[in-house]
Amino acid sequence: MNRFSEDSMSLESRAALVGNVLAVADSKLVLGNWYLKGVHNGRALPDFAALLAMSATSLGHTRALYKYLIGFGEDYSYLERGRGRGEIRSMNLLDAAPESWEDFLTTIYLAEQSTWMMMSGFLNAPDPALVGLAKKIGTESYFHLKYAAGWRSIFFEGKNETYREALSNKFPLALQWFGTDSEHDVLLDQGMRNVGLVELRKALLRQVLTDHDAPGFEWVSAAEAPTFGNDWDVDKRRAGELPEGLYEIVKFQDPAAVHD
Amino acid sequence: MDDSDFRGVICPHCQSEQTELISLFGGSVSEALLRCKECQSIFNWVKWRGKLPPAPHDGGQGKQT
Repeated sequence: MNRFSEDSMSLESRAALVGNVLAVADSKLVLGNWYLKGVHNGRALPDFAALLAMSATSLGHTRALYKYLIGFGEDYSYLERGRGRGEIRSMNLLDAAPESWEDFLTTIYLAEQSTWMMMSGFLNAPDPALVGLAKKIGTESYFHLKYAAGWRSIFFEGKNETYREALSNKFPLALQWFGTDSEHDVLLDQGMRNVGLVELRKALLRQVLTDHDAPGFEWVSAAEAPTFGNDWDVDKRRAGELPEGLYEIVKFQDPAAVHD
Repeated sequence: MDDSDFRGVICPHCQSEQTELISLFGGSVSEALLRCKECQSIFNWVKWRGKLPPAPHDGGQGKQT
């Protein structure tokens, strides 16, 4: 196995790899801040502990992925605290503030599932550094997904209209992140990942349907295909810029408090 | 509740494999709560076992790292 590097790749494949990794890293950046913001809404002490732990892990993933991109000519300091809100590539799924506890749980579940699916495409990549990152993120996402599964089982047992509504609203945004069927998947073509974006999206769809195959839980969202407006940016894997209010939350406030 | 990741867990009190998951929220953040159908003991079980979530390449089964 060979480590990917800036010198060994075409400009197109380098841009695609950096774009994909940055989409995961920035989504984890926003997700980590969501966890932090959600702490005070936890229903019990274990929620506070879990949300804080998941926040730390998510921001750790962000930094590890930024570090990985140094090998491709990216500047770590710039990635972490030099970019404006138009350059942040987090998924649209995480743009809006949660409207309820159910909405919050639905969104973090979909974000964890989506980012894991994206990273799982690199599990057999030719670059051992990227494989290691994918495995590390996977083992920790497993833990986070168990937290979401615990809450999901509680929602299944009670009145779950709010949960179903949140799921129906947010799921298309998770699917959207993987792009259109016609998108040219450079990383798949170049052998830099062994599962393409279309297959990853289908796997996400299957997994979410499997997770919600519970007695008495009626929800069918498979027909709700994602939509792509004119502002969809295939390189950033998102439409439009990060909302201003959200950017003020996720950007590092004090550079002196950040260690390189 | 059912979760294939917790099937066949051996009871730490009577070593029975007849155990079931009660809740994914155990005594601490990293633990789930299980019950032994043989001796009726309730016990915590660490839910993070270095496993990966299901992914396309493993047929959606999850995989040990």
